[in-house]
Amino acid sequence: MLRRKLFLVVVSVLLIGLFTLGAQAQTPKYGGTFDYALDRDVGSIDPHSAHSVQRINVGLMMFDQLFTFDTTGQVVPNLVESYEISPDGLVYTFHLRKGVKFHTGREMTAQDVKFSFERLSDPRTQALGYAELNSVLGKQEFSNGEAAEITGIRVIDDYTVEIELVAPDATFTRKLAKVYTSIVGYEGIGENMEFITPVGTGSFKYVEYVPNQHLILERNPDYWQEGLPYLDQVVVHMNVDPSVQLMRYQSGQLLYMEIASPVQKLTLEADPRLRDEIVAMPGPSVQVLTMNANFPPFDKKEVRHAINWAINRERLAYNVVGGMGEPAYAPFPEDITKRIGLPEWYGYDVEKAKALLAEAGYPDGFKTELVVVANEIQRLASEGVQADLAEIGIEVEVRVVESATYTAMMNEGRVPFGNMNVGSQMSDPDEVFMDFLHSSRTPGLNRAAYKNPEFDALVEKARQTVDDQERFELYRQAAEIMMEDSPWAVLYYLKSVAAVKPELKGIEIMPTRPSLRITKAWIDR
Amino acid sequence: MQRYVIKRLLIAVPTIIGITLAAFILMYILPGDPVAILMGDVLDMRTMEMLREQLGLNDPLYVQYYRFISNALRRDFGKSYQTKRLVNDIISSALAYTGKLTLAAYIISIVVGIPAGVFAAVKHNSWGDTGTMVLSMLGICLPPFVVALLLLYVFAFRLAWFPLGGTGSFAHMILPAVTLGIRPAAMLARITRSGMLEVLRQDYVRTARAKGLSQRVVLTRHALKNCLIPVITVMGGQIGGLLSGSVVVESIFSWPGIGKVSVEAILARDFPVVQAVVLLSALVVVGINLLVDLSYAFVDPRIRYE
Repeated sequence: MLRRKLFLVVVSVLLIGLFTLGAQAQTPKYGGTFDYALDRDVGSIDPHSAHSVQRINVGLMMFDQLFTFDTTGQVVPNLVESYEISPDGLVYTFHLRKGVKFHTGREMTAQDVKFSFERLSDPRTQALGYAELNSVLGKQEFSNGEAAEITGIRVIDDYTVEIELVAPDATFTRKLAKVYTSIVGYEGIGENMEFITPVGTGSFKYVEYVPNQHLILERNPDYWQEGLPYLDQVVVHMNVDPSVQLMRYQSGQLLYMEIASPVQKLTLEADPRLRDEIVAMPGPSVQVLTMNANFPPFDKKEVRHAINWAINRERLAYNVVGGMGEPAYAPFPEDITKRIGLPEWYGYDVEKAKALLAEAGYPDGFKTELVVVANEIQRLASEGVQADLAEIGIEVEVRVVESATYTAMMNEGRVPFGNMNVGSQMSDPDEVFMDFLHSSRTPGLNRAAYKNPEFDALVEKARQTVDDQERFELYRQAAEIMMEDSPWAVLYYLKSVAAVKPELKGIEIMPTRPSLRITKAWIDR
Repeated sequence: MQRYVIKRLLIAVPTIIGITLAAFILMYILPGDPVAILMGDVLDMRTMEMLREQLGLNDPLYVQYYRFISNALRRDFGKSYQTKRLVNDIISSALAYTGKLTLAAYIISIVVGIPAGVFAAVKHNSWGDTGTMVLSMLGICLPPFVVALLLLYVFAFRLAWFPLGGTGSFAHMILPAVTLGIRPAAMLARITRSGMLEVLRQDYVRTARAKGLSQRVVLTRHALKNCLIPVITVMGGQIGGLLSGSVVVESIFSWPGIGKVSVEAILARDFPVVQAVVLLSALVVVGINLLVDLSYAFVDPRIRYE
């Protein structure tokens, strides 16, 4: 198994090298069309409401943000050239790049930042990213209609904007890297803040959107990054069934395809010509089992520990879900786990699991139901869990439910034992612990109804700690407490898997949402 | 005739109101909060509250239903929760695509199904008859998604005669239309065959033959026309079936029709879209049933609506 791990590490390093250096090793060529197939419609192309990964990736092509993510999930300045944070962590001064132009040709200034952030916070916009700027001073008053502007956002001059927060927020620059906080030109926004047409500063300009069919973008010749992008055009094809995407990829009509199911991956792996075109990068999520302590037998810590010890994560990740995952031993997505430097909790030990179960008063196991959303990977994983738990006498009935019902059941805290995908948009531990485990998120995303005041206090403190080393230490302590309490059994890190034709170079796959950037992509033909 | 039509139209009103009310209540009873679905795995309570207020979901159910009905009478179905596009635009664009596809499938089913049924009846108990019936049985049994993937694989992927899904040209429509047309064609073939077999034994057919009429005239004028009533009933029913059966076909062929729009709206609990689709489907089905009933009178002069 060590050899396998070593092999995976080597492959990952090679792939990262391939993707980041590939573009530099050869001289990029201009021209060509990037065809991007989605299994659904993007729905809306308003970046302030871009909540699904598809919308986010498409939004990133047309819009820029003050900050952005790199391929390792780190946040880097984007439209901001430099910035300072006041010693108390409350005031951010952003110096904007000069000469950045909107697709209309107008130069972007600090006023546009203020306009964009106020539009995002205006209830009339009905933006799904409405809460992103909650930590900004005066945001609530503005959103409630008590103030005409967000007082904490101050335009100093054309290229300087100051943002004051209510309390320190360690994730603030990360929030400004989300597509939700895109800078939009007022030319594309209506009187009542409704979205009319995409006017951004991104590397591609909007040409046409035919709902449910396609979205066409063209190269932005005035893009602020000199010489970029290389591609002439992007065509986003909507509603393309995954089986058809596969055929299009196999026939060379698509140079890039996101792989969402083990079956697709296996089909490609079975073809010796295509096998090497599969790329698996750390993804933005971790798969977990939620165990709600309000329901017996999950009220017993020994039971939760037993389940944790009973799961063969390597088999689950490499075999059951067909290599779409990587075994997980910590409660964050893969890149965050590595960044914070967390130890591994709970190995695979059936005997220990059995002993714990007996200690809890269930020497012969028990019967339970595992609720899972109708999704191929999650269903497969649940069946794997079912087999593992049968080994220690726990008889699991897998109950697959449709997504809306699943969301309702889980959010209401009605599920004793569930399978959940824990996603992080901005690759930060705060999102995971605050949104999915803080006691204030019940009912809601804290679907295991986890409650530990000590954990809550550490997570709250971490959010206000701007120094990363200090902050990560708080998360390590919080993770220790949480893993001991075991409201979850972590299963595997979900990979971002894609198939990429060798002639497509320079695409960037990131462990965040957005997960795909094509600014530096080019076609070697 | 006129009185009959008016009576039928009056009966349609409570039917349609009943259907929309049932759909309305059902959507609210179903677990799943449209706002939570909109937000995905980023649930912020203040955002949810803001959205509920803006979308009018905080109002009592009867207020929401009244608003829906009164707006619907003005042909205003509001905006989709998911896309913020006008429901009217979504539906009319999707309906145009589904209409095209359904019509093409319908034509295929008639052009293939009825002659195949006549052929099988005329060649009763021959290899031709057996072959046609085996094929029609296959056409009925094969699920549309299998047919769709099979056609795509052979004709679009392997032979590259047709595009791999999507829209844009006439060629894009052929495979989905054939997929959709196969099952009704098969059913029409079976119904026509059994109808024809019965009619061909009738005295008047023998008389027609005795008069020295050609086989073509005997079959089309005398035999086929007299077995059309069950065929028309089936054809009418097929339209509803084609509209709903198109969900799978539309998904596989990336055809932006009403089937895919409805399924996605139901899964996302996008109430305005679902309600508009339900109302529209109710109108279409009630309308087609009426047309079918009226067409009997044209085919069979013995039927009178007085």
